[in-house]
This record gives sequence, C-alpha cells and structure tokens, in this order.
Amino acid sequence: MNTGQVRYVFRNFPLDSIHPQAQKAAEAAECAGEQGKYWEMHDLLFEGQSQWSGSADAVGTFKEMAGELGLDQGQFDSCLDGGDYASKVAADRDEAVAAGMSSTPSFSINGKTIAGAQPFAAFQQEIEYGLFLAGGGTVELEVGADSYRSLGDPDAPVVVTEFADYQ
Amino acid sequence: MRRKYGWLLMLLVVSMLVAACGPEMVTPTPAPTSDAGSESEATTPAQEGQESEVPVVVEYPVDENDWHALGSPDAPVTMIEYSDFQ
Repeated sequence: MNTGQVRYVFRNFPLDSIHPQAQKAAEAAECAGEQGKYWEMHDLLFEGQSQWSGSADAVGTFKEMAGELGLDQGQFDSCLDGGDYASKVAADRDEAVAAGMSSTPSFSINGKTIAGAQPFAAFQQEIEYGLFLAGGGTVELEVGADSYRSLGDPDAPVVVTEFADYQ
Repeated sequence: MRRKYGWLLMLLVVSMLVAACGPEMVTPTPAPTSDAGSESEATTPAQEGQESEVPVVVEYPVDENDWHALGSPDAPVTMIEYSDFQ
C-alpha cells in the first residue's frame, strides 16, 4: 500500500448467526468513522475482541473504546444506540453475500476470491499476479534442458516446476 | 551379354544411389517443418494469452464516502476484505 500498488478495502460482513455482537461492533466502527476514527476503532475492536465478544454488555465496551479514542462520547453513544449505521452495515452484508462470500474473513483480490484465513503465500500470489497483469509484462523463467526434465513447449508462457520425490 | 549385365549393373548402382540420397534429402525437411510448426504454435497462444490476460485488471469504484479503504485509489491491485469484528 505504501508504494501505491495495492488498495485495501474493508467491508462489513457480520455473521449474525454465529457472531451475535458483530452487527453492533460494525456499527461502532462506523460511528467512530463518523468522527474520523474508523481505522482506530477497527484496530481497537480486534485488539480488544476478548473483552466484548462474550460480554452481555458489548455495547458498553464499545462506548468505553470510543472514550479511549477521544471521541465525542455523546455523539458516539447516540449514533450507536440509534442504529444510525445499521442499514449501511446490513447493505454491506448483502453485498458480501451477493459477491459469493459465506465466511469471515473472505477476500477479493482483483476479483479473485480467497475464503478464510489463508497463509500469506496465498495473498502474495494473487497480489503479484495482479501486479503482473497490470504491468502487462511477461515472466521469463529459464529452464535448462540439460538440468531439468520437462514436457511441453520450451516457449510456453507458463512454466510449472514440480519438486518431488517418488515415495 | 556382358554389355547387357553391365547396363543392368549400372542401373542398379544408380538406383541404389538415388535410394540412398533420397531419404537424406527428405529427412531434414520434416525437422524444420515441425520446428516452424512448434514456433508458430508457441507464438499464437502466447499472443492470444497476452491479449486475453493483460486487460483483465478489475477496477473497483471505491467511493470514499462509503468504503473504508487504505492505499492509492489508482493502485493496480484492490484487495477487499469482507469481515466482521467478532
């Protein structure tokens, strides 16, 4: 992101059936965003997840977090209690479902879906592929005929190398 | 009789020479043909692949007022995370 190559977008996808506090947590982030502290609340919600996830008063914890961030408490409380962003969060959820998402977290990288918390390599691969396509370049992989057993056209644009044993 | 056999012998030698030379002249021909064929086959899919792959850059309309996003709006790669906080 710092080099301008990747744009990261966060969309609300509260899974109400298994995450009963998720809707209100998403609204809390939106209410903080209203005061210019969306990402700060985003980070705080994840960092303090254990404090509110199983709590009967999760909303109270969200309000305390707003205080920690120095937000206008009255405005934040009114926003959260009034459900000012309930419909927006619901619309985000509908969009995620329409995009074919069914679990959290799910990702879309230039249209390619990565479902679940996958290893870093899965993201790296899609990001690098996206940059490759955007650059319009070609990847040149040298396959020495003497050192590798290969099948297919030596000039093929894609080279698959398998490192394996026979057992 | 000797002359007759002599001609026959000459004819046999010439036939053998033609037969011997023939394949040598034919053999190299398929090789360049197949090389040329593989070259053209390799070039065509590559060009087709580039034409079909390179333009596939998905552009998401990122509305600053609606989407929470980090990074340049002009970034060639857009990663959207669909998640909740719980």
